[in-house]
Amino acid sequence: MAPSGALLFLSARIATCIWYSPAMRAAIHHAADDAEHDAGLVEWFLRLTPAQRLAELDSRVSFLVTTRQSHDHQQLRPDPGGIDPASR
Amino acid sequence: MTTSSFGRILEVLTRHRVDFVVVGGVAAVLHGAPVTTFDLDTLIRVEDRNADRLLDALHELDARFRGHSPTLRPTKRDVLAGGHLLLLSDAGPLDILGFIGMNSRYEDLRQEVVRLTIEDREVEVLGLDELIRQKKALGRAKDEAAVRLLEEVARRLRPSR
Repeated sequence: MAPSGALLFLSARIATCIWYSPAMRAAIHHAADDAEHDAGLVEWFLRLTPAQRLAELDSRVSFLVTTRQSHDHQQLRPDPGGIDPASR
Repeated sequence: MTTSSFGRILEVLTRHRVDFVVVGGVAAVLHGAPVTTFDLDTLIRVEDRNADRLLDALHELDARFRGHSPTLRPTKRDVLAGGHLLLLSDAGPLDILGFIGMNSRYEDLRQEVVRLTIEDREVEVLGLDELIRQKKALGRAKDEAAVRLLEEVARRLRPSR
């Protein structure tokens, strides 16, 4: 037996509510942001030579160790490309 | 305080002509994945003369076991045992590995190694595809982000794939 028009309408409404729920939208946006973020970082990093990549890693590790030792967790270094984590 | 310098460790190991392959997070960085790691993982050839050269390099780096026995230096017997030596050198943490993954040794991975030039020195690094395979096989949550970045690197280097 074919579903009634009311049932179809109700199903569509439920699907719409789920799709546009804040949680669903946030999950979709976060996934898109992560992929975009990764792609941007990789694009930047691939422009460096292996020696420059190693120097960048050394620099990051030194920064993190120094920061941890000084217990100053407010010193957040901006992501490469000028993206400030605090603004996200 | 120990200042981390992966470049210095690689320079010392290559100058002492140690047979080794960079694996793990530093290999990912050298391939172009912007991950952060605190130690340098090296897969070494477990062999008598290579052990001598490695020990000379480790002596120059003042490498000692990290953790519960920080005053102990690795011996030739330790190296030839073919296991994992987790060390702390004057240039940062250094892991000397006799095997990786499912008992893959230096000799087993010769076809999966690439040579990269760093400061006029050639360094052997585990190839991108094998690195992704090894990290996936470990199945650790902490490797998921690195695998994602490595796959993005692979996609960009081989856009037609």
